[in-house]
Amino acid sequence: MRGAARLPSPGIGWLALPACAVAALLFALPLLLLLAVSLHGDGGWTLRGYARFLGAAYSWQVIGRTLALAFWTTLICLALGYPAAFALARTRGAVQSLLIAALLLPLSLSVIVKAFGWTVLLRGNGVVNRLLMASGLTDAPLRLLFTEAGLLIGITNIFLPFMILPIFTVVRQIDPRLGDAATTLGGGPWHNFVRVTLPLTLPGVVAGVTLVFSLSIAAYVIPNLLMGDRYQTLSTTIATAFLYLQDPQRGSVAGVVLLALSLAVVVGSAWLARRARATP
Amino acid sequence: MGAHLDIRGVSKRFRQSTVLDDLSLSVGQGEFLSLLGPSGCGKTTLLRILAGLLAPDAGRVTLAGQDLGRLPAHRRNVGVVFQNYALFPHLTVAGNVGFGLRARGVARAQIEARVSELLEMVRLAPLAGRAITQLSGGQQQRVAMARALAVNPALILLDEPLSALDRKLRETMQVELRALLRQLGMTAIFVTHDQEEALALSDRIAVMNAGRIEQLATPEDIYSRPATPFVLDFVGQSTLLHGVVVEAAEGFLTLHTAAGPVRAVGHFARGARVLAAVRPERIAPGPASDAAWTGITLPLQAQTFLGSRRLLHGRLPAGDRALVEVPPETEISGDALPIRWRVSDTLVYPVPEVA
Ligand SMILES: Nc1ncnc2c1ncn2[C@@H]1O[C@H](COP(=O)(O)OP(=O)(O)OP(=O)(O)O)[C@@H](O)[C@H]1O
Ligand SMILES: [Mg+2]
Repeated sequence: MRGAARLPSPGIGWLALPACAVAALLFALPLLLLLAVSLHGDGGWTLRGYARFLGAAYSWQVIGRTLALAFWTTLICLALGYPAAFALARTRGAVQSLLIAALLLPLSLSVIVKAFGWTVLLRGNGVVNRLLMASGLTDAPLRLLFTEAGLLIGITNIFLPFMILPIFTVVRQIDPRLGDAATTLGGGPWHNFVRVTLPLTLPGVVAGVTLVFSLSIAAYVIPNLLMGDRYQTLSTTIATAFLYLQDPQRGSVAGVVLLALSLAVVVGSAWLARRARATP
Repeated sequence: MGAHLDIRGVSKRFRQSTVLDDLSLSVGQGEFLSLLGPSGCGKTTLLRILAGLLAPDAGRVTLAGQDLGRLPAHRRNVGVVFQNYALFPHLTVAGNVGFGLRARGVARAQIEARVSELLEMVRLAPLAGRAITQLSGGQQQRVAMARALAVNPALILLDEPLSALDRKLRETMQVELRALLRQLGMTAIFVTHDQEEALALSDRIAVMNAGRIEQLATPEDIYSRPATPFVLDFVGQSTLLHGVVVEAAEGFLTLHTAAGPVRAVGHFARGARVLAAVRPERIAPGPASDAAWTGITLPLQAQTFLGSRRLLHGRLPAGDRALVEVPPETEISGDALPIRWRVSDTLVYPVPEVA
């Protein structure tokens, strides 16, 4: 082991240079440009763009709506995905491969197709309503499309794999005898879940929450197709600013705000998780 | 002394295969009992049943007079040291040792006191705050012991607790573990497939084979009076000679074997096919001098030098083998050696007739 660890030559780090360069070019540069545009007014550097955007009550409505959508999407995905990951980890062999394929396959489909699929399912005479009526749960078709309930159904469905997979990966690695050990030490099921299972799955939960939150806070196509234009989130605001209003500063400001929000949540949740793990 | 732990007629099947077959066993208060047997004979399965992690298909287990069948695993107060320890990787050494106390809702100050007492006992006090991943194998083993003992269990089950350690460390840990359990007067069931370990540590040994107990006895009896050919073969080495009883009178037998006539004590009919066995250290070079001795002339095949002794191997027909232990400095010349042993040291087992 020690011999193998010494094998790489001191210069090996340089091999990462091309990858770093590409990453810088593709990610860092556009973000810097975005920041620059958001701070650039007619006469030079200015914060007027931020003052204008954050001064409007409407912007705060949009920010609130965006955060609420991301929050509920993440929460529902977590509530559904956490037990689903355990169920998936309990299956074996071919059944497990099949289920993982069923989770992954939709990812190869464009989000537009999936969102459009949901518009078909959620319409007044769509499958969902027909099932509801056939089962006698409702008499008349429910209004689902262009409602927040419909949006949540669609968006959680589309982002659920991003919650299940990271949690599943962690659950699969937990030694099942840890549960046995906890039980023989006198721990009841709830105690063992809180003291053993939960802390050990926390890294997977953080990964899943981070992924789903960042995806849903920035979602554009799904709210647009399932809710229409009058439902404005930060993403749709950005698009409107760039595409229709020809106001790149407003778009950039909204973009930076969106980035700051998702960064805050991602970093915050990782920090919380680390703290939770550190206290025994 | 009544039985502290009483196992009656326990059976367990996994699909078609019977893993435990109507097994009964009693363990006394404070006794150290080893379960010794080959891989797959059901040792871990029996421990899991005792711990309540697995339900038996039939049978009854009582501990200190209480029927365990009704108690779920977390109410049984049976400590377990798992095969690869199963320590909680997200907790420190102290967190692991205190886990059971916390599960029982013991007050924080008491937990701290008990944890330091145990860490003192297993000589890990300076490492209380360490992460589990930063411990050596021997240290992990001691944490696992301390964790299981912290809640003061009525019985401790140890599933090959030392098998992951290298030989030298294992021998030190054996002594340490035995002393600790004796000091606490703890009743222990110790699973191993290492016969030397079982012989060295146990008050009694239960030799298991295919879900049954072949023999339950003290280490001395297991070694010198193995009840079946399986125990004979599994524990220690021996000279094996297949033969036929040619003379049987007043409890003395004469056997005809490929190496010559051999005498033994026992009751068999004339013409019975038997297996005769002798432990290596019972055999001495030299011809049988009087009626108390018996012997053969052994054609020599090879010798193995083992440091403290020298092993001589004889050339015998397939199925038979001869092993003689002599002092290391012994000079062996020639290609045949007369050997002898006491008639009462010949072990005789019936050989099932194969049709
Ligand atoms: N959950 C299970 N399902 C099916 N078969 C099992 C299960 N657990 C154990 N077995 C089988 O039962 C038999 C006994 O297993 P057990 O683990 O008790 O053996 P062991 O004596 O502890 O062996 P080792 O020394 O290798 O640990 C084995 O053949 C094993 O394959
Ligand atoms: Mg085992």
